[in-house]
Amino acid sequence: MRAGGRRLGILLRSPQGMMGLLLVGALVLAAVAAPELAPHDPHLSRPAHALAPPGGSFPLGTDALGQDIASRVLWGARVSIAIALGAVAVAALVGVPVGAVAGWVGGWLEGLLMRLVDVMMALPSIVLALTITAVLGRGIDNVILAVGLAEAPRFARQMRAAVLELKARDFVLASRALGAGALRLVVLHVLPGALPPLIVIATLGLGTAVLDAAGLGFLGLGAEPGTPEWGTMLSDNVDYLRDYPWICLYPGLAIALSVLGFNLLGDGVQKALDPRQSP
Amino acid sequence: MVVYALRRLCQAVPVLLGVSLVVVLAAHLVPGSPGESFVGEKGTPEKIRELNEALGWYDPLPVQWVRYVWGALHGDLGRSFASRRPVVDELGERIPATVELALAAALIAVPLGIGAGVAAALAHRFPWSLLDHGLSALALAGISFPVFWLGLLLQIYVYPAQQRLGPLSVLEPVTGLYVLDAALAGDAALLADAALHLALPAVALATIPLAIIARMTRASMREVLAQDYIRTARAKGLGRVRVALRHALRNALVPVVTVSGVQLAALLGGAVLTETVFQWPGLGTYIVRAAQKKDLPALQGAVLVVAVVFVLANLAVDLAYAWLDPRIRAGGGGGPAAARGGGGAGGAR
Amino acid sequence: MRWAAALGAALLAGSGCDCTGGGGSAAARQAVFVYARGADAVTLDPQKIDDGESVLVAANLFEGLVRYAEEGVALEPALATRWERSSDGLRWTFELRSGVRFHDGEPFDAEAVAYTFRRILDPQHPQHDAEILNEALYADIAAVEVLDPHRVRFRLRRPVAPELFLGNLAVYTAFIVPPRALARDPVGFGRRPVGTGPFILERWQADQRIELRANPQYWGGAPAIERAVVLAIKENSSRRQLLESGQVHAIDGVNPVDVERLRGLPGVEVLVEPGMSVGYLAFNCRRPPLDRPEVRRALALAIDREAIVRLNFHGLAAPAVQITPPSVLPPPAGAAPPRRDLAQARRLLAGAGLAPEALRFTLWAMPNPRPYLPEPKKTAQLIQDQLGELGVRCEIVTYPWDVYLNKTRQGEHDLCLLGWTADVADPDNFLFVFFHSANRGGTNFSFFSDAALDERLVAAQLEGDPAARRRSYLEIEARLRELVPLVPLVHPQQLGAQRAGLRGLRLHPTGRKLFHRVQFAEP
Repeated sequence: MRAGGRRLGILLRSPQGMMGLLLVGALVLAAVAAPELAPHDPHLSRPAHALAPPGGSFPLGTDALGQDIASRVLWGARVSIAIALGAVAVAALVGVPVGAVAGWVGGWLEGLLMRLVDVMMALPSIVLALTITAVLGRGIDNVILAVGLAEAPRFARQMRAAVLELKARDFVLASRALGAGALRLVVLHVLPGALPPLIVIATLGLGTAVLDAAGLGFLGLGAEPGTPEWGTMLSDNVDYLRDYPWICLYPGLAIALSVLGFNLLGDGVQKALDPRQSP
Repeated sequence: MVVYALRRLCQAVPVLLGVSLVVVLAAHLVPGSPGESFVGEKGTPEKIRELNEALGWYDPLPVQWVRYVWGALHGDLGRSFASRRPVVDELGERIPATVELALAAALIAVPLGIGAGVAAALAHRFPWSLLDHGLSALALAGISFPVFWLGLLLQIYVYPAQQRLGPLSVLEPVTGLYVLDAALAGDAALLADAALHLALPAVALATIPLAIIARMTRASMREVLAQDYIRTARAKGLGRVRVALRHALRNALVPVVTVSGVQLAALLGGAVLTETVFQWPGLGTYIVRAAQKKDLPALQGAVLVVAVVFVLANLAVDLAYAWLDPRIRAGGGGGPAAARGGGGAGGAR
Repeated sequence: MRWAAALGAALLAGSGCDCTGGGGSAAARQAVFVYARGADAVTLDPQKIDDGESVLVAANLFEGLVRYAEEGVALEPALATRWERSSDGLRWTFELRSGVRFHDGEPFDAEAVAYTFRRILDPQHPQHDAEILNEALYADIAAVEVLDPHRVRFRLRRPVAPELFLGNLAVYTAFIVPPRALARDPVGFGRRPVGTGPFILERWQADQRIELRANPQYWGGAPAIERAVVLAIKENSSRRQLLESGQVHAIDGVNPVDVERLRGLPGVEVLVEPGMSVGYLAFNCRRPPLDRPEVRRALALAIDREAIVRLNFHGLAAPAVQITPPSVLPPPAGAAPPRRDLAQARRLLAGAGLAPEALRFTLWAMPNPRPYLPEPKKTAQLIQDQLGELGVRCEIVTYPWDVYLNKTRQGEHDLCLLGWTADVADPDNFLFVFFHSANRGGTNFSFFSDAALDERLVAAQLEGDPAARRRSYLEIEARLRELVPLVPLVHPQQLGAQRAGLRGLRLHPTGRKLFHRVQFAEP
């Protein structure tokens, strides 16, 4: 408990960690309070007010359908957080067991699993993700799956490395000798030790997930058209972005600040969890 | 060394086979077929079946996969559903455009990234530390900016200048790289035009690798500067900057080189988005169009090319590392490129 | 951006060839006409074409035996100079234009005509393959006989109405191809097409541009321009900017919302012409309670076409009075789109023993814009709201395009949005295609089946008297207003824009854009 408090302190004292927490906090606030904060219904289109510049009752202007951009950006925070959390959960749920099994069991199974990881890592994550959504179709669920699978290999690699390292330690060898079950050992001893780097990967993974989901949306391979997702907001209005810059400016800014927040937080968390390694 | 290289190369083969298998399998997971997209709202069930049969869509998956791999070994990646042209021809037309863009981006990212990293590492004491903080913040922003957004902003705010470019002169493709072709043709005006059109997408594409290389250089440089031999050199009365550039930089660059290698491969990922924003007729727009139209052979072919480049780049990085640090050869398994993953935002840490 | 560099090269390619040596003089540059549209052609093999972007180019390279007049949808001679229909309507004899050669020098003759149609119809033909589309349009042709080098005879299985048979011959699928060039390289022909038309393909840079050169030997007279460059520029705003700056002379794919703004620009003219398409909402007539005409009628009464035209098309579409567009089948004088009438809709449902609040449907919307419905998702939302006011609830469903078609063809929808752009300016190309029971699972997305209507549709195909034929299609339309297998929503206008002073470019109802008559105003 005290260690946890100290780590939080380190996180808060570093300017990056502080900034990251602030940005991520703002994002979470926007996501949670979107219904209260948003001035309008994000889906309501008012053709009479299409392409209105920022100002008046539309603080950030409207898009080609006359939907309020401010409201959509706020609701977009909810979509982005949902996608990011979902994707990292998928990545962890797939990657951690794969890495753990590969590291613990070893042998041909390890070879097979790690070759599979190699296959997935042989493509840039956005290419892998867009191949998946191209096949499965658009939609938030598919984006979560695609981005999550694209991130899973990092978890698998990290987990495997952690398992290999801890497997050789005395207390694990001793417990094994005493006949402790593999699952029990991994969960009780290996996982806690492997957790700090996994948390760093997860935090940074949230940023990557926001970025990749927005990229998919921008390519028209992300959330369903009409969804208030930041990248999809751009692709839905692709013909208007260059003439009505506010349509492009604010969703993009939201993506950039969110990713920046997660990256800063990731840096901060890394420092807090491993104070030795400071640049 | 050669044995190590060969072994790593052999490890790449199942990876590539796996990639092709995954793409073949994936396309069959969901309803819908190439025949449907082929005929649109005008088709009859018979026509759709006929088309799908002609495309071999109903053959057992292993048959399709083996046929695909066999063809690929003979330089045949099938015909695109959308254009009905050989995928190899289409890829051949598009790869030079992506190579041109990636090279331009690398020429921006590597020198500027290293320069900024060194400057930040040296800017240690106040008031220079402000520079360090500024550069670090910029670098962090760089890895956080969506590349397509940056591209759009560049287009919105820099584009009007491009509009004024008038027609120039005719050019037959030689290498396929516009800038190089213009230079070969000795046409200065066209060279300027081509370079200008290349500039914006290259800047957009360069951002993330630039930021990552800068961060890596700074960290690596700081580490080296803190080592004993540097202190000795300083104690001998050599100037700080001189020591840094003469003695420290060379050693500090070793990890930077590998990061840069990984980043060059990662450029392909960025190219998908950048090319779409700038309508650059390269591999990236090809992949996106193939994905949008579910043009399976095109997607397979393009993804395979990306995988080959990615695997080869990582292999080159690992070999470079093994060459620099012989201990790795004994260690087997993945080298630093593998450990560093796709070289995304985490690459610099 | 790379296209802009390509464009520069393209323009000068034009001036470079006029052999003035220096190139780049103002007059020389005027001879190059630059057209920009949203996507590249797929193939220029006429028998394999099925997209508008390919038709646009192919229609400037190839010709059929007959063609549509420049104005309206009347047919006139093209590669055939005259024709004769036998009294039993089963034999058509065409006299061919003499002295015409394909771009590669191969003579155009009766053999080429016979070859073209055998290729379409005979599955055993060496150059027939699965990619040849639209065979159904020619299914009535039993044989094509060469009488002499300049006369060819078609034998029909049924005495098809003259305008229907000739109309099918004007479709791009029936463009005449050169037998030798095609047999030499059947696969490559689609990239290196050889026709008889006013332009010759010079260069095709995939996804960037297609360059055409005037055919000086064209039988209809050489075009006024020397060269046409057709650019593929995906984004509407980029195309518009190029037009504004004068680097491009004409564009298509103009957004309704941009029309106002384009009209205000100096040096730019907006082109608005009726087309031959319809966007519709189909009911799945196999699914209760949609199998009952009064329920379908009630739902149709809740639809407000005017709102869709206003909100989806900014007024640049005609609310549909009937299924066939007015450019193809003029509706009776004074006919107006059905009025929205919620009270009547409720009465109909009550009469059927249904409470609107108890009705729940899936409403399918295409994932991507189509020419007949540029914002399908939004149209679906409007319809959802409109039915919602009646008390009927709809859930909007969407899938990737191929999956969408696959599932709607299997009848998984209750209501689905779709549409059609006709190839032939004939009511048959709408009414038979949509409603004949044989087309269920193909183009009959309503799964509508009515023996009496089937009979009338087939009879209309064979009606020899054009006036009587038109009357019978108007009667079929009236009957369909009672049965409502689908609700025709809109007939969109074709929108384009060009530089002021450009002459001779017209948006034909068939969607063709012919460059033959294009010329620049004298300075």
